[in-house]
Amino acid sequence: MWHKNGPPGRRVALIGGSMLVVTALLAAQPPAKPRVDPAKTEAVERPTEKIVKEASEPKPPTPEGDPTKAYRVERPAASVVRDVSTPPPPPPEGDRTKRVMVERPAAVIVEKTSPAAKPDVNPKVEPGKVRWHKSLEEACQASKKSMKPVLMLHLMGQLDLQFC
Amino acid sequence: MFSSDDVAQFINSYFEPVWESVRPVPIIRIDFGNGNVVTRTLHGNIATYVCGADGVVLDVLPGIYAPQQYVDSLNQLRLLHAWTAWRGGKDRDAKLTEYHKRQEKALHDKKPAERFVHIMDMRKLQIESPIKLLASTDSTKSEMKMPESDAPKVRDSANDAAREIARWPILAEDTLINETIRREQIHAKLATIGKVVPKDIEKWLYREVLHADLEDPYLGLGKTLFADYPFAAEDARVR
Repeated sequence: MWHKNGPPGRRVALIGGSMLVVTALLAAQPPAKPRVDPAKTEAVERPTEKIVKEASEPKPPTPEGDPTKAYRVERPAASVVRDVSTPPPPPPEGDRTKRVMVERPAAVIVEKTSPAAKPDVNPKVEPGKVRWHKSLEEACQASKKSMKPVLMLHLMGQLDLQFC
Repeated sequence: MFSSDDVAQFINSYFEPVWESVRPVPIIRIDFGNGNVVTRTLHGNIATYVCGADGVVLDVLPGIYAPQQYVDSLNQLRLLHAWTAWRGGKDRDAKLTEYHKRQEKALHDKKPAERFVHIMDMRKLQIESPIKLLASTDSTKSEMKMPESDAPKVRDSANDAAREIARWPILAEDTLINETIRREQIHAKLATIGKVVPKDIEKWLYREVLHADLEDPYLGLGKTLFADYPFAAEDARVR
């Protein structure tokens, strides 16, 4: 068994020698490039330092004034369409449109639309050319001073309305 | 009537006037089309009380009068006030009763009501009232009658509508009924009831004299509204 490949010590020396040869061959080749993120090396992103620098530096004013006012007065069309087309959220309690006075109070509506309130039905007029006292008590007080009798007119309706 | 210059001037000169509403009055509006619309009141009426300074009723003019007759009747009540107020009005109640009894009798006998006349008699001025209540014929003959015994003349209104109303025959007829039948009722009442204020007799006056019940919820239109109602009998059975 020994005579075919020689003794074990000689076989170890052969392996070590061949490894030295391979190492020497590798050292003679040109060095390989380092392995990095190709996306960054290809400049897909701008350098962070440059971005920070540009953002922190004050920009010179544009010749047309404040660009936010010039270009951002209107909301984006998409958000406008979305807000208009989607139904509003349900009110927390009751009919919110009535609570926030979208409708006028019923009493006001009735008062302003009832026939009695219309000025052309029976408008106020001067109650003749007589200088009327406002009450019987007032007329009686005046009568005590003037010694004139009291004239008390009772009527149906109102003397100071056109139709009475 | 109260828009007449003469009527208003007379009232302002001799009275302390005041008005009150005793109830609403129904108003109808009929649209005939083509812009023709009639608006008027129904069953309205008035009553004119003449009172002393304490509010006690001296006399009442019931209903609506023609302007001249209204001023003439008011002038008589002005003299009535002066007559009862003679010497501080201490005999006022007795004089009022006497006045109402005499007027009621005259009207009941189909005679003209007695009239007050302001007489200037210097010999009796200190002891007697210068105002006398005389029979109608005597009052016109009195030679010592003062001019203010008679009411001022009411001129025709410049307003066409007011002039037409003042000359309306129905108004003249109503004035005559007021001065005879209705005032006789009032004299009879006031002669017996004694001292009253307007509130004491207003319901009676409107119901019995002017035939308008102040407590009627239909304001006098009950018959008009329900007389021809075809289901009245059925409704009555259900009730």
